[in-house]
Amino acid sequence: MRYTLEIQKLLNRANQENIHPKDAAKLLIEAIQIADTNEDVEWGYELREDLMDTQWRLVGREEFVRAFSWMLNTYDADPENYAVEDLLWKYKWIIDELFSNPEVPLEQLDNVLSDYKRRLEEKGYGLRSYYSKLLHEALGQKEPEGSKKYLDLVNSLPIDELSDCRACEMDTEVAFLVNKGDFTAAYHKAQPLLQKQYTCAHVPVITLCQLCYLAVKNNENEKAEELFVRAEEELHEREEDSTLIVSIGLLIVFLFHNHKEKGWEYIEKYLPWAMECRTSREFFFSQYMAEALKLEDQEKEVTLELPHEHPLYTSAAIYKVKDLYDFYYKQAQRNAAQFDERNGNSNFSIQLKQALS
Amino acid sequence: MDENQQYLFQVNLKGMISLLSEHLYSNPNTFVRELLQNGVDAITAFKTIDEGHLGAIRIYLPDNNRNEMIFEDNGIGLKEEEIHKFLAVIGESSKREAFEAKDYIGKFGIGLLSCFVVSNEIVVESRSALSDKAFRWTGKSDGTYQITEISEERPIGSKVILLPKEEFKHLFKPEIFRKNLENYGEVLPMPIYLFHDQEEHWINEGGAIWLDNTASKEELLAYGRKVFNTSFLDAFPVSSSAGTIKGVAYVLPFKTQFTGKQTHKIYLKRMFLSDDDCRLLPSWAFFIRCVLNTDGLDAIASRESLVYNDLLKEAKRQIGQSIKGYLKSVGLVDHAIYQKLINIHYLHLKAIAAEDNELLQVFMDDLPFETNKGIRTFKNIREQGQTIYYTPNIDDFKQVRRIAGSQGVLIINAAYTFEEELLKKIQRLDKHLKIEQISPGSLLNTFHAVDISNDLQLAEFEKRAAEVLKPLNCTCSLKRFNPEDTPAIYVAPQDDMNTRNAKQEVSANNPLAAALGAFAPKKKVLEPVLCFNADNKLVKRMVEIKDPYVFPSIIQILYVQALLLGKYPVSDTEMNLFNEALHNLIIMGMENFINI
Repeated sequence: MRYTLEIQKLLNRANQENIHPKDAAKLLIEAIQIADTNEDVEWGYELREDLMDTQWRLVGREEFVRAFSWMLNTYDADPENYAVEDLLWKYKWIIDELFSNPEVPLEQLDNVLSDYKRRLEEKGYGLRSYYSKLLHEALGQKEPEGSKKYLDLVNSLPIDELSDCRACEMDTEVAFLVNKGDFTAAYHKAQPLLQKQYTCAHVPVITLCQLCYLAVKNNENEKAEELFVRAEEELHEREEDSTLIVSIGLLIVFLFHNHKEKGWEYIEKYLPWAMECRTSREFFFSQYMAEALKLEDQEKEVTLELPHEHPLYTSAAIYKVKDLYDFYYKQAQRNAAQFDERNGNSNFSIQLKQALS
Repeated sequence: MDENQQYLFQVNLKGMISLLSEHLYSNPNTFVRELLQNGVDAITAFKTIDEGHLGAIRIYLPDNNRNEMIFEDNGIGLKEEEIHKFLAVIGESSKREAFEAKDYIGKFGIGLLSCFVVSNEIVVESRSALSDKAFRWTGKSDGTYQITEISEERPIGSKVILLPKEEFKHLFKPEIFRKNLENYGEVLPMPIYLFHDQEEHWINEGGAIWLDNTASKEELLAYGRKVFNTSFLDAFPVSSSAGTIKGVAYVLPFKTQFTGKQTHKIYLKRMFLSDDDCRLLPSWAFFIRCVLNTDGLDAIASRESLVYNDLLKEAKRQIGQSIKGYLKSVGLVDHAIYQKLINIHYLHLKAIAAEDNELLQVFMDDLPFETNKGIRTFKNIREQGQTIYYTPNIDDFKQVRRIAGSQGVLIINAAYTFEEELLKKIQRLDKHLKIEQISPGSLLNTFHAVDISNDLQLAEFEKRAAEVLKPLNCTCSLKRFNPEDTPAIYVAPQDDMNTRNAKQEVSANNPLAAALGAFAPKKKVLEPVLCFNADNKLVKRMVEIKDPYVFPSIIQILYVQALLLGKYPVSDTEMNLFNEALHNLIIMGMENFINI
């Protein structure tokens, strides 16, 4: 059984406290290969769970869906052997992942959603978590009727082990009000989160970013400044969580309204995260970048260290604002078109238009 | 019921005392610290009315003459009304609202409660500097107390008298008590004496050498050796104006992991607080141990850590600057230490350099990197050739180094995330350098092509080998490369997960099966290649072998051998294949066919 020792060694390295999640993921993949080569299904399952937990904090998570589909197969072959609640919890992540990839057709999405629903019902769980997935998508599309409908449905069903935690559910309610543009109501709703009565991995940092963005757009400058300071503080404690890139996009918009110089610093600091974004994150981040850059003098030339792999990268490191704007605007436009085609509506294009109007 | 009636919470005093005394503190020894703190604060308060007052604390342990412990200070003392107010109201502190509140260590009004952990009764005898009368207060853990006047004349100051509970008597043994006392009070600014039987010990006679600006490096190192049991590489002062922090940082003489916490000594107003860094040290400072005193930061209620607020964050930043300042100058001050520092702590230095350009400039040339030719400094690597190659992960490095070494190419193993960043950063700082990533695939492209159009035999070999390899999901290629004695190299694409383990694919009824394509890597999936070396003797001979059993067996053996050489995992199936092929050769009497 020498291979188990090899796996253990890799795991020890992957579980080091200060290891970068990217490095941990690489080591876990290596361990999964060894488990698979030796046809050790239990290890394969457990390691994939670890891998998903690790990649959850990364925007670049290429193995996410593949690892989960393998787990689902393995679970179905021997359901007694694995914890269904953990599996279904990860299933929720996967549904988000499918929604946020425009290459997944609606029909496939529907199949997956009904599979998830069936599993919930079979295992005696309620449908609160199911409807919350539909709610998140409606909110992402800024679709008011669907958002209202699913929010009411979610709230009408009892909380169970698979529903989002209180902090996340409250953040969703705040997002609903943010979409409506009602800063006062959203700010009021967010109080328990802002006072940290409820917290979660990403709450209140994402709540703060949403509110900060809305505040600056609604000319609530004093509030916006205050929210920014708190958001930045929370961000400092999560310096490796690249999934926060969209929220950072919101802060960049704020900064270009009030502190352009710092805005450029943010761009330089966080662009490497954005380079690994795919799918809806790419759309939202690009949209916010375009929105922010639009506030800057288009003819201005800036010195900026772009990541090497950025399509606009030059060694001279001098860029025209207009070119940068154009790049992000087009990227957002491309993404929006893809999503709208998949979704059979124009919700993403409308969002983009509104943000830049 | 009257709706406007206001009700008061009822507090179960006994439960409250037990909760505060037993659960607020993680360690039963805490009472030593709390008593010291009260004593020190009382003396500090006395000094505000009499600057020349010589404060002292005396502790008498239970011995043959007495069963109680007496903790005595000659501080300001308490008047009768103050005793009612401060000793009997939990949460009330004599120090919180005082004008000089910042000079005191305590402020929560709960410290004395910690004595209830080790004693069922607390007796405080006190005479205030502002009164001639002395009083005795007796508090019990059931929440009741008495107060009586003491008729005899008493000096100014307070005495706390505790009768140890049976189960905590061991804490009052002289050797144990003394250790605790030293731990908390070693650097307090007033003398502390411990009495037991006829003996007297001055606990803090040594003072705090590390707070003394005139202390020599030798003295500081000797102190570090005593406190941490380690002979440190170097010691240097650190300070921060935020939080009024001063102290000494020690450089560890051995390699440390990025994990694992170092122990430190953090003092608050010269009273020992914690051996954790209390988040005062930057995250990269794993190779540093500190002895620090802060006069300006706040402790949390249990006094076991510091409050994490903006001031602490600023202090952390300044301490980080202090350490960076040292690192920047150490090379000029003492080159031997600089060399040792790099040899031992290069991993941490690289991590710091990756985020600090100035430090990168200082250390860049001397930073060591693992290369296929052993550990080399960056200067040495830079002088080697025009282009510097690196591999971003260890798998690539393992594969590439076998091939690259014999071709005279130097390759850096940049497997840690910040190493790749570091190289990219160096590239940005120095535009004249050429630093390039290399992969087994790109190295394969540098092999010399073999022109098979003019050599039917070679063309035939490639075709036949490809057929043998096909069931193994591997393609075949024929090239010329060094070293000649390597017959074949296995080159896997970046993500090996999908190809060699294709059998793990999901079944068709899996609801996600259809969606998987949308998440496939966008780059073309490369199949692994077994690249044969046309210059190799064995390969040359194999071209001539036509036997339908011998040829596939040898190819299979070379395939598994190449996996082993590249340190790839070898599955049972592949191992069986290898054994069977060997078996075939033996049966057929391989010596009749091939002679190598």
